[in-house]
Amino acid sequence: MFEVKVIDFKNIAPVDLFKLLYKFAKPLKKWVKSNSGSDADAEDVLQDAMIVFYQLINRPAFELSAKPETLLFSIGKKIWYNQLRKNKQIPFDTLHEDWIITEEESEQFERESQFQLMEKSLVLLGKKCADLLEMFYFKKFSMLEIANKLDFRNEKVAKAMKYKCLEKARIIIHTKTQDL
Amino acid sequence: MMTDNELAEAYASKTLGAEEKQGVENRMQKDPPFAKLVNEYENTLEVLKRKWLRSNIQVAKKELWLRQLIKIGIITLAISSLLFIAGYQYLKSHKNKTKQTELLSSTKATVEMKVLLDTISKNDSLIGGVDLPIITPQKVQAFILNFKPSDIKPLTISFPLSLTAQDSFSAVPIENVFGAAYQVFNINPMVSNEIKCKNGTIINLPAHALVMSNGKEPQGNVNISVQEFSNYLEMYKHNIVTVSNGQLLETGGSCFIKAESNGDSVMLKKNQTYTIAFASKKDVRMKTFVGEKDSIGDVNWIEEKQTSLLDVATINTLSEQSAQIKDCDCNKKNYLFQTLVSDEGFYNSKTDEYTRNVLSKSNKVVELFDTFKSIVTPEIKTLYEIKSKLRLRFGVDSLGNLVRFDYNFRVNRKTEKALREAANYVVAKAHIELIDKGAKHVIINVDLMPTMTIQSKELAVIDTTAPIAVQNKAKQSNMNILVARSFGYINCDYFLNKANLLTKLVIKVPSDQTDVKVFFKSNKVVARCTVNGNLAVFTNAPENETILIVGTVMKNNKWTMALQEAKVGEVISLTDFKPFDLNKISAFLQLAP
Repeated sequence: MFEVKVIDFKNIAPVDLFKLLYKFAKPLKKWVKSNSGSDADAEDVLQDAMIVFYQLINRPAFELSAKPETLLFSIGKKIWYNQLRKNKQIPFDTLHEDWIITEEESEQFERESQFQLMEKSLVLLGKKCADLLEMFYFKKFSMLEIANKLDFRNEKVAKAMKYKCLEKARIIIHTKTQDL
Repeated sequence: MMTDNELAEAYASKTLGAEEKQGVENRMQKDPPFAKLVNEYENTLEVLKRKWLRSNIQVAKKELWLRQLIKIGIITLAISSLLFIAGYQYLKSHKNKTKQTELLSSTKATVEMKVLLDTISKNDSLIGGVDLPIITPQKVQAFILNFKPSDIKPLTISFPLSLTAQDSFSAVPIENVFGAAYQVFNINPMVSNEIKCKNGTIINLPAHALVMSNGKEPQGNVNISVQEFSNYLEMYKHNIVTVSNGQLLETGGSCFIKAESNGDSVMLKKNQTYTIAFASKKDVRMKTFVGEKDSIGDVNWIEEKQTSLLDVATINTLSEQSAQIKDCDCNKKNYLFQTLVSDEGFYNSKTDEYTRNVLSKSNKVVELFDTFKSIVTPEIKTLYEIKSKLRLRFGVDSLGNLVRFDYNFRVNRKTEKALREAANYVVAKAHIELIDKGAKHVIINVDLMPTMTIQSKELAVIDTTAPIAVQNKAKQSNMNILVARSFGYINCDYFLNKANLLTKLVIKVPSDQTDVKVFFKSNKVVARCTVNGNLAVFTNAPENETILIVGTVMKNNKWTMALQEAKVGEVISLTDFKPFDLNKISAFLQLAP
C-alpha cells in the first residue's frame, strides 16, 4: 500500500518548510551560478527566495497552484535578475521575457532591499532583546515563560523589558538604517 | 487607556479587535505623525520576523547537514564493519591453515606420539595407507621417559644491532661531562633587583627578600647563580626532563637558581615571593613547578601551591580571594588605618586629607597607590566603556606597607562573571607591578558600582565582548610570568593533555646501560625511558606522537650515540650507534621547536 503524504504548506513550521525547500535548492543554485553568480550569491538568493516563499504562502488569499519547487525557482530567478539589473550586469538586448518584472514586483524588490538594510542594523539590538522579541511575537511564548527562560524576576519585568526592547528595535531600525 | 505607541504596536502586531482596528485606520488618515508611528512599528515587526525566519533557515540548514553527516557516518561504519568482518574471516582461515601446516610440519617426536596413540587404540601398524614404523608400548614408554622440556625451543626474535653481545657497555655520564655552567649576578639585596639572563629569563627579586641560614639578612652583596634550560640542547646537557610523577608536562622554560654570600648559602625569607618571566609564548595554563632530584638524578617536578594570584585564569571566585586573605594574615587589627577611595580621589574630602597626611609618611605607599590607580581605573573603563565607580579599600601596616585592597561586586548577576574576569585580569596585572615595587601580601579588590546607564545599555553586549577583551589584554604580554616561593629548580609548565590515547613507548636498545631520552616534536616535552634489559620504556606516551630519540651508551669505553625520529606506537629499535657528537645532537634536536 502506498501512503500519500499531503503537506499543508500554510501550517507547516518554518524550520520544516525550509528543510523541505532545501531539497529543491539545487536547480536554483545551479541556475544562479550559470548566470554569473558565485556560490555565496546562490546561497543568498536561495535564502531570500525561501523567505519570500514563506510570506507568499502565508497570505490569506494565496493558494499554491504550482509545484513548490517551481514557485521557489521562479521567485529565485526574479530575485537574482533584479540584483543583476541593479548592478547593471545585464545588457538590454539579453533580456529574456521570463525576466521581465512587473511594477508591483519592482516595488516589492525595493522594499526587500530596504528590509535587508534594516535587518543589518538589528545587530545593534543585542542578543537578549532579540531573543525576547522573538519569543513573544513569533514563538508565542507567554510572559511567564519568557521571564523563566530569560531569568527575569517576574512577568511584569519581562513585559517592561519587551516594551523597552521593541522601542529600542524601532529606534535602531529607523535611525541607524540611514547610516548603513 | 493605551498610549499612542501601545496602540500602534497593537495594530502592527494585529492584536486589535475589528472596531479598534477601524478606529486606528481612520485616525491614520487624519493624523500623519501617528500613521508614521504605526508604519514604523509595522516595519520593525516585519524586520524582526525576517531575522527570525533567517535564523530558522540556519537551523534547517544545520539539521540537514547533520542528517547528511550521520548518513555518511552510518555508511562508513557499515563499510568498515564489513571490511573488518571480511578481514577477520580471512585472517581466521589463514591462521587455521597456518596451524594445520604447523601441525603437519611439527617435530618428528610429536608425529610419532600421535601415530603411537592411534596405533595403540587401533592396534594397527598402518595408518591411512602410510607406512610408518611399528610402534610398540615399549616405544611409547621410552619416548615419554626420554622427553625433556629443553627439547622445546623458545621463540627467538633477532634484530640487527651494530653492537654485538661481546661488547662491553656502560652509561655515559652526560651531566658530569657538560658540568654546571652558571650565569652569576652580583646584587644588592637591600633594593629590588631585575636579573636579566642570557636566554631571556627575567627574575624580579624584591628588596629585603633574602635571608642567611642564621636568620639574618645578608649584609653585603649576594651572588645569584642561574642556569637556564631554555632549549632542548640545554635540557639534554643538564639532564632535564619534563615529567611530574610519571605524567608528562609541557614546559615554557626552566632554570636553576642558587644564591650565596661570602660562601654561605642564602635563601628566600619565609612567605617571600618573587617573579620569574620565561621567554616563551604566553600560555595561561602555565604554572610554577619546583624540581627535586630523585635517586637516579632525574628532576621530578611538583606544582607549587599558591601561585594563582598572578594567574588570571585561576582567579575565578570570590571565595578563592577570601581564602587568600585569610592565608596572608591580613586581619583588620593589624592595620594602622584603613580607608576607602574612589577612582576620582579619596572617598570623601575629609578622609582624603587625613589619608594623604598619613600616607605621606611613607612615600612608598603613595607611589604604590598611584601605580594601582593608574593601572586599574583606565583599564576598567576602557574594557567596558562604562561609567563605573571604582572603590578601593586598603590598609597600611605598622611598617608603612600597603597590605590590602578590597573589592566587592554589586552588579547584575548576569554581568558579574564577565566583570569579575576583567577585574581579576586588571588586579593580577596591578599585583605584578606592586610586588615588583616591593609591596608585601597585597590582595587587591575592586568595587564596581554600575550606574543605571550600564543597565540600559543592554547588558548582553557586555557578556559577549568581555571575555574577548580580557583575552586580548592578556595576550599583550608575550612572556610567561610566574610567582615562585623558593630557589632551586623552577619550571614553567602545565600537564600535557592531548587527545591521543596514552600508550607504552617501547624502544629496543643494545644494553641496559643505554640512556634513552625522548623529545617531542610538536610540544616542548622531554622524557627519559626506564631501561630494563634490552627494552627502554616510557608509559603514558601519546599515541602517534612524533618523537626525536637520543640514545647514548659507552661501548668498549667509547661514547656512542644513536639519533632517530619515530612515532609512538611504532616498533622502534635503536641500532645505528655512531661516535658521540654533540654538534650532531644539537642539529638533530633543532628539528623540534
